[in-house]
Amino acid sequence: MLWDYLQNGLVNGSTITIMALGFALVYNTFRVFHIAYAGLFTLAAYTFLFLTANFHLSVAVAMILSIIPVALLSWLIDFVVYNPVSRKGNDPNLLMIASVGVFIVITNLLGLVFGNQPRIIPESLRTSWMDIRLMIFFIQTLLIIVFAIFLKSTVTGLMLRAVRDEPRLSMNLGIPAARMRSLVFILSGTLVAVAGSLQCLDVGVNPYSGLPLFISAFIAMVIGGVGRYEGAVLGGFLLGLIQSFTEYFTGSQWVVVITFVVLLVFLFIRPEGIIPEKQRGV
Amino acid sequence: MMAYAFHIGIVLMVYIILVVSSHLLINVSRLISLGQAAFFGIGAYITALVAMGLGLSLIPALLAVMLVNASVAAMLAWPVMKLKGDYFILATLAFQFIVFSILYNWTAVTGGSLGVSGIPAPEILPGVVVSGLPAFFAMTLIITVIVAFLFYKLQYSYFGLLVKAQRDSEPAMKAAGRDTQSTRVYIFVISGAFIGVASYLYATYMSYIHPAGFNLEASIFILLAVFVGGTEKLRGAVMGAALIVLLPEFLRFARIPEHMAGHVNQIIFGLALIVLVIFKSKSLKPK
Repeated sequence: MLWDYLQNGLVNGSTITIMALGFALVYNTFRVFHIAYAGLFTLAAYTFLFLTANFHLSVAVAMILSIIPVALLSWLIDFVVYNPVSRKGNDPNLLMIASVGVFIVITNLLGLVFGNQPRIIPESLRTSWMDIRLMIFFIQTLLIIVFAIFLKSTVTGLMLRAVRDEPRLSMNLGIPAARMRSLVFILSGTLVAVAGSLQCLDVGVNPYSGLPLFISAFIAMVIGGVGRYEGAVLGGFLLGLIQSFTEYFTGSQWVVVITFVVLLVFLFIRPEGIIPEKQRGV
Repeated sequence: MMAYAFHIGIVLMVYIILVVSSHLLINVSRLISLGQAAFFGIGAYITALVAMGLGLSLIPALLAVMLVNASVAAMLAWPVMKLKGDYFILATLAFQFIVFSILYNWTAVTGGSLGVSGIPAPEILPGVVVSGLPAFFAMTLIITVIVAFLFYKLQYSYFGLLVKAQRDSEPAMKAAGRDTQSTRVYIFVISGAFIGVASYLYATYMSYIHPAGFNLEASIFILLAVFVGGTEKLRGAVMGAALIVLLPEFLRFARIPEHMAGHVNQIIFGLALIVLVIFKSKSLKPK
């Protein structure tokens, strides 16, 4: 019984972590409060549903194909909304308001097309040679590891971190800023596409299913430590486990309350998170 | 038809009070709160409590609701106001979710998902009940005008000047010896208290309240209404409220099928927000 909840916590933790990494990538690099990200998650889930239910594609193919529209839209949102607004040197809160607008548009377009009822993928696709939740956990953990290696050990990953830490200096050193910007949004779209597809495979989707996970992901980032990707991973798994055990001890209706109480405790006692951002020497 | 006009008018004025109460907080001092609907909800449930349980008449009930809302806002404000930018938004979001969850799940006190029904119409004096739409409309109009007038006065008062000054340069105000933290707390408390007025009118008008009316979406819509106005002027915010309330009605007349109208309505709002931020961001920029 307890084992089930532990397993649940790890699976949810991996989903939250993937979401948190994709969000942190945008947030750490450009300080954009990317709420539309929750809409991208739902778009991925519906794309996955559409491909499996209407074209009877296999889970793996549908997951990979669903990355394309999501990554593209992620890039487009930046190109049309965030980039022009932030270039004018506006209050960053404005970007958040614009992002809320994008989120509302995406959510309601999906609601118009697919209806408000929760949908699940055909039962025949849910049978596989291993437990589906275990598979989700492994795919997502693998993706987290690949992402970590990419950031730490490749030149492109290094460039991304350079843009995050020293945006002006890195431009002077010849790092292509515009291309890095596109890359960040495409990568973040890819991460959320995988999380969305797998979530749809697991529990199905409705037009509003992105927001609760997005909020969990953001909270995971804050309690783990903003500015550090390790923080997002630690926070993601920690929050997944906390939510799962809350459900075990008190029932599912109090999960949201406990999640936010954890957030408030961190905001007031340790706002820098578990792993604080490195302070650079002067 | 008259009944319909009165109905829209009352709903519009409830929204105007919500927006006007949030204007100083969100538009003037740029503290973006995603928890305004939580105050709306707390006020509505307190209204149900004092009107049904204690049988208070209009003025004592209004004062009780405002007092409770102000105390909740004060308790929240002291820790939350220390947070900056995104963290402030996040803390108000947390407050919104916690309040909603409590309203929804604490069934013994709030009725949970059944809501609370049978909230009586307000009594102006003991025994004098406001009955019928025109009377309720008139009462709402008077209260709305008073609230809007108070906020207009407040914005151009000495206090309003302090708020603007510390938004533009907090270090300067601190250097001048002002306690900027307290000023922010006052704004938050005033905003919460006057949202209670909207709650009272809403709960006694509808006579039925449900947690779903006070969810995150409601908070976002209050925020949007405040923003769509787009300037520091109070009348911009009032226009935002009008847009939020009237657009769904226009869509109904445009014969958009019932099941699509909600989505179309929200898509228009979303697009309006994006366009507003992209093209009109100059007017939203802090001067």
